[in-house]
Amino acid sequence: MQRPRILVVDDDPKVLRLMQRGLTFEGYAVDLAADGDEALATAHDCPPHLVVLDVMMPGLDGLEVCRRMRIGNRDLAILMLTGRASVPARIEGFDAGADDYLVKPFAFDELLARIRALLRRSMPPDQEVLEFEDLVVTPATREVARAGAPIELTAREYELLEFFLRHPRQVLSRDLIFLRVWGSDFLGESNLIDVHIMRLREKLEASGRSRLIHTIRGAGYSLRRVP
Amino acid sequence: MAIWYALLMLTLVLAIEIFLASALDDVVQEQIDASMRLRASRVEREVTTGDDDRLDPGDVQAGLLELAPLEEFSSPGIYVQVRDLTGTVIATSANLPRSELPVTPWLLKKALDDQEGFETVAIGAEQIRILAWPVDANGPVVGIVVVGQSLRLVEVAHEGVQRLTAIAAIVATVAAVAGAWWLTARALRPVSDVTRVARSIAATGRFEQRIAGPAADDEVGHLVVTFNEMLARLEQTLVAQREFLADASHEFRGPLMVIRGNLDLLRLGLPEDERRASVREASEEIEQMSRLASDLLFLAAAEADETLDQEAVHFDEIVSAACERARTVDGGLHQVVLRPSEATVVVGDHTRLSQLVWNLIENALRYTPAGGRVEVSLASRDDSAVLTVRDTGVGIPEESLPRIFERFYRVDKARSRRNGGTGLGLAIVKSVAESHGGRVDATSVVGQGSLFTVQLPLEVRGARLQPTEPPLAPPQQETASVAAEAGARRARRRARL
Repeated sequence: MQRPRILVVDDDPKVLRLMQRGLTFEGYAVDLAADGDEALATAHDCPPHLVVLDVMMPGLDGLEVCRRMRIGNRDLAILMLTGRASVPARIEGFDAGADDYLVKPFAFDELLARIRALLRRSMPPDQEVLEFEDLVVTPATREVARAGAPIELTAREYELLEFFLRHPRQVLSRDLIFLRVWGSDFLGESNLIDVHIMRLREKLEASGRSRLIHTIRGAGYSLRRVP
Repeated sequence: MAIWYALLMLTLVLAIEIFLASALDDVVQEQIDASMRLRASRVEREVTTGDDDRLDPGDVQAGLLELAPLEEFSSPGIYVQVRDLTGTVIATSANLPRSELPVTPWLLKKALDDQEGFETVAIGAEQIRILAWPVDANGPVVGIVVVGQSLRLVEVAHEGVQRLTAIAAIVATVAAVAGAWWLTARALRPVSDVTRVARSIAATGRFEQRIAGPAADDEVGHLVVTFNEMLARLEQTLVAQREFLADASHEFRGPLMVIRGNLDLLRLGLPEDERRASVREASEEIEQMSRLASDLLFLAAAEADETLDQEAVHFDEIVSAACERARTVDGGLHQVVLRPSEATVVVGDHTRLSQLVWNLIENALRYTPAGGRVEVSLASRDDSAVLTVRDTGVGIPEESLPRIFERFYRVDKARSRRNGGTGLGLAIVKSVAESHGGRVDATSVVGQGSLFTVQLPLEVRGARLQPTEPPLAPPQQETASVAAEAGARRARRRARL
């Protein structure tokens, strides 16, 4: 499975930095470009699966970059960022070849969700397989197996496992897990997550298999080989 | 309004008609009286006998009195009688019925006094004009000729005229009112157009509307033209304001994006150093937004405020203070040189003028590489104070030069943002210069440097002076500093003078 490659184009270096931080964390390979010419050059050298493109840039503007990138490249997903929310502006963007459009300032979560949606189309899902040690997960079919032996998980357990697999080795806090897997940002004193992790562990570690999901005291959980 | 006009017209017309009618009556009356007099005098001549001037019944019986002429002088409606001194009727015209022509004692007495007298009496339904004419043949009175004339014809005519005039009055009034209505409606149509358009604008807020059609060259026409001009100006102002608002809020999007994005990232559970980077960058953008808001407020106030402070300001002191501050902030990165200048007094607002000078110097420092030179000079030329700020910086390309005083215009957006620029510095300079009756110009050579020149009218001798207040610390601490690092420098800047 390839790691999706995202090219971010924006004339504000701070926006580029924050995009890099966030998208890398989410498991994407990130390239940056500060203007239209650089964007086209980078796209040529390291073809991305998706481009996050700012419309208003000095020099070659985003619309023109979009048009040029679109030529002969139907599979490339292009998501436009802009400060202009007006309908004509959006239409202009779509007509130039954008697949989606986000108005600044936006919530980062929304950006991630839209990127996932776009990549679902441009990257055939049946290619995707998540692996860690001897654990193999196929997101398209939700098949989970360890050393070839299939494991049955509930929907929530599966989502939890997939989340860990997409952020391997990273320390994931309980709040973050609750936010991303349950979609809610108020966990409070609930031990909901702990219960689910316990159940997940039982299933993954059946037949004496090694622990993959480790507790990191005071920080959260992490998918790793050894604690 | 129309009712008043109708009443006025009616009153006028009636007044004229009444006046004419009574004048006519008088004329007619005059004519009648004159003809009666003539008649009476002829009768007098005819009836006076040859041998003496006395008139007595005996003469009549004697057939000496020629009375046949009496018939001559009477006609239908005109009666003639002759009376003696006692008032007894001696002769009468045949058309007179048995009754006498009524002669009042007053008339009689008048006649006996050798004075003619007129009276109008009613006999039955008829008005009769009576004339008592003394027969005196240029001597003592010997008798009275009485002439009576029926005024019936006159009355009939009078009534006819009255009826006609009444009708004419009404017709005239109606015609006048209708005509006036139509004429004024035509003449004032532009006024009702103005009202209609004004109402429409008030209701919809759409200022593109105008009064249509060619305007006549009269007062109303001028009103229309002026009204349209005013609307054009209003629309222009509104459009400019909308654009400013759009541009300004657009400027905030950048910083907001960075702040929001980084705060969102904090929830992701990034490693410690990346979290710290996010917090730091978000904070810097908040600083940027504060500077932007501050500059916007300053600019809006400077442009909206007609009541500019009118005090005598020592411009040379402002300039030297700004240079001092610049050296402190700059920390030796550049050479800041101030040419010596004499005392220069300008009328205006101390705070705003301080901001003007600071913005120019800050701009020069910002666009000049380390080691470069910024030279400031102030001189008086004719009746103007001339401030020049010259730098050895990167310069401004020729195509950009006309635009540098526009709000939010930057030649190099990236560089400007790195140095904390808001894009409003020069716009503020221009606004303050112009609101003080002055101007600002710029020349530049790319790669060599730029020269900014500000001209302000000097204070005119004898103008009313107000004592200069102790200078307030201008709000420079909120506008962009030259070097983004060194919080210590910032602390130093914040210290009040």
